[in-house]
Amino acid sequence: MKKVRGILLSLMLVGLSTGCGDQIYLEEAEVILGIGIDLNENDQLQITNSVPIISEQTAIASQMVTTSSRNLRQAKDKLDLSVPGKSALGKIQNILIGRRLLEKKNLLPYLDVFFRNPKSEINARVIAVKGTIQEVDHAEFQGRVPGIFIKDLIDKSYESRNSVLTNLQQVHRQLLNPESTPYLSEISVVNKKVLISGTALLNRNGLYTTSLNKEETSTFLVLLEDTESPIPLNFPYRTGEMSILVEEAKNEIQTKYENGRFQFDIKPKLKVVIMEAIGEIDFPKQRDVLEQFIQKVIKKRYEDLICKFQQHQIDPIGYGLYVKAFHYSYWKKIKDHWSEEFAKAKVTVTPSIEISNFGIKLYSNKSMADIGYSRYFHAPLPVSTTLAYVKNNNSPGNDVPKSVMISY
Amino acid sequence: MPKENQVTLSTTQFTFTIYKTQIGIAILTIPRELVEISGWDAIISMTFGWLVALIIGFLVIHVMKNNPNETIYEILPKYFGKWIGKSLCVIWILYSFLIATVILLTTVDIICLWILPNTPTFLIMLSFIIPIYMLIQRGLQAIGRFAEIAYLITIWMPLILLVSLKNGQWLNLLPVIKEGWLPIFQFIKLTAPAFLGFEIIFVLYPFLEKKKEAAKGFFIANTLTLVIYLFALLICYIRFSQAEIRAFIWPTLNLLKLIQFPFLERLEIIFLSFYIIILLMSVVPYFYMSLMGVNRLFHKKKHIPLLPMVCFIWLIIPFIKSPSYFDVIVIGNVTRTITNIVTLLMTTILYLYSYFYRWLKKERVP
Repeated sequence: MKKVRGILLSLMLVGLSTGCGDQIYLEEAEVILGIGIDLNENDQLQITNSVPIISEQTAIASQMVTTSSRNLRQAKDKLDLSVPGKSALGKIQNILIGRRLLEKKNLLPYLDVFFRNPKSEINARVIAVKGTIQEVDHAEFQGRVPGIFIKDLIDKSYESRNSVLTNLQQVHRQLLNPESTPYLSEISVVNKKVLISGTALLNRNGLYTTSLNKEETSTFLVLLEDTESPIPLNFPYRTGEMSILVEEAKNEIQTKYENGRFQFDIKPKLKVVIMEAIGEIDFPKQRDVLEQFIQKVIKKRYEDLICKFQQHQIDPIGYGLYVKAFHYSYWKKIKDHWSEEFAKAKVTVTPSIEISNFGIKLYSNKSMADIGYSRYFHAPLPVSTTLAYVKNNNSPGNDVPKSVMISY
Repeated sequence: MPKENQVTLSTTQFTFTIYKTQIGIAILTIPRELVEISGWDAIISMTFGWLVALIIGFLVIHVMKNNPNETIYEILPKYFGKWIGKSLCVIWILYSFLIATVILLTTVDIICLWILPNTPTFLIMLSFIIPIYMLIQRGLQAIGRFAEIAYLITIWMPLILLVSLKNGQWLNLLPVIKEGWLPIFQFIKLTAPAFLGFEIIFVLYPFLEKKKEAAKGFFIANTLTLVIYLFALLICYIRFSQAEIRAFIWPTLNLLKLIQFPFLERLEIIFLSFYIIILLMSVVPYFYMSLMGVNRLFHKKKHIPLLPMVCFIWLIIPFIKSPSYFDVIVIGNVTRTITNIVTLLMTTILYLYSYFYRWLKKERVP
């Protein structure tokens, strides 16, 4: 008995000791942090891998390796040929998709590798690029590793609800589901600087249809009820400006099927906080007026956005799910062309707003006209925002702060 | 199994042995298998499956009650005579052995794929066989105790699934009864076998200390299993859409892949590592059941040559042909059909026959 036990134990030890056979040293691994997928001029698949270089000599460095290949796995094999080390997909943070690919081909088949391999990271962010991957490749990242830079950019702006965040798993679901159409966060490169430009919307076939700008993206997030952190909204108020945060959003949706078309009654219930108010507003007195005004704004925003969706025959919010849940017999008939059906649907929006607080200041007394910004108010919305940033000091050329205009 | 006659099982041990035998691989795949009905319908169907299992289980207990100190291997020859009874015993032995092998192969396959793709299969097999060998050699009481321990160590596991509920879509569960009742009833053929494992009562019952509590213990075990299944089904359907689940082989594990803590990624590895204990607790009772049958059949007090022999055969399977996923699926499907037929027929026939048998006896000996 004891002999057998001894033999078994020693056998087990032998078994355990071989477990270290497949170790990888970090220095020898090529950890792929980002992948860019795009089509080149000849419609060939072009895949860019962003690999940080980990060694004692270089502080922070990374390289981008671009290969033309037929699929992602082949690109990894080609990468292995060109870099000294074993490439690893397990820590992938971003997957950038070029505009050309989004316009021409469905993304879904290319994502297969991530879902087939149990080692891969399905929480990676999928990001549409307004332009080509080459532009991102040549952009400057303030001396940081591009993969991490883009990850932080998306994460932080999602945290402040200025952009959506779609990870691989969500995109996979969106591309598969007949009840909704996909959306992706979108970045663009302006003056060699990467910034978030909004949201890219795809149609049922996974092809690029249209984009949302920053303000529309925020409204879109309110529609999605994604209020884990408050969503900022900006709009002009009388002669001034107002910024609010939507702290709670609950969209009650009732569906009806009448005369061959669906009807959605959306009743958004929002709790908002006033963050900034420029113009003549006396908060305690004008509370009702203010709430009504914000109601109008929200109604307009919602309607504009849904109108845009219907025009392009897309349903990124997933109203199909409501139809499936409450009108299953109709759903079975129309599930293959739900987006067209949604385009025909009648949508009414009746918001109700509650201002939960307006900060620690009672009223704003100066209108913007008084301080000489009158020319602004002829435009319906602020059309451009000026961002200033200091260029890298060691880069040649001007050290002068340079302005970038982002048009929304 | 030394000195079987002196071994007794407490009610808790009885309950947890049944419960842990019932929970096996099915929980990892059942959300996909029920995806065609999905949502509340799947849950209703699962509850019906529970009911069917409950009824059959009570039939088993009823049969055992009439023969309180005998296992199935004594009852069968007693009822059906020497030759038919013994051949039925052989079928039962082969059946339990087949199930044990299928669960073991599937477990090894899952571990190979998800956790240790570069480790040789036979080493993984070996690391399973050692505890199996140790447990079975120490007999029923050790198995009962292990079941209790296994329950305690793995009690946190369903709770971790709750983390993935974030970003779930509750509307996925609707509509209720979407295609009528027919598909719900049809899917009972998948949901009832998910509760298999209660056949172990056939060999556990004679060793149970308080025989009156058998029905209670079985009811608790079956209900615990139902709760775990419903938990997995609900969370899977809330978190994944129908189209998504169709694409996954093991949706419950995919659920874990979504969970990401700042300090920890790939939670499914940790989950699976603990899940091995549960899977082991499915292999061991079935294997024990078949070995016990061989012992009883040949009236041997010790089975020493057989246990190491089978373990050795299991160990060399990977050398002959490492089972691929397709092999496992094919074997699994065949086993499922056999299991359904054997369990259903065996219990119902036994139940009806036990009445007939008593009637016969009364007629003969008035």
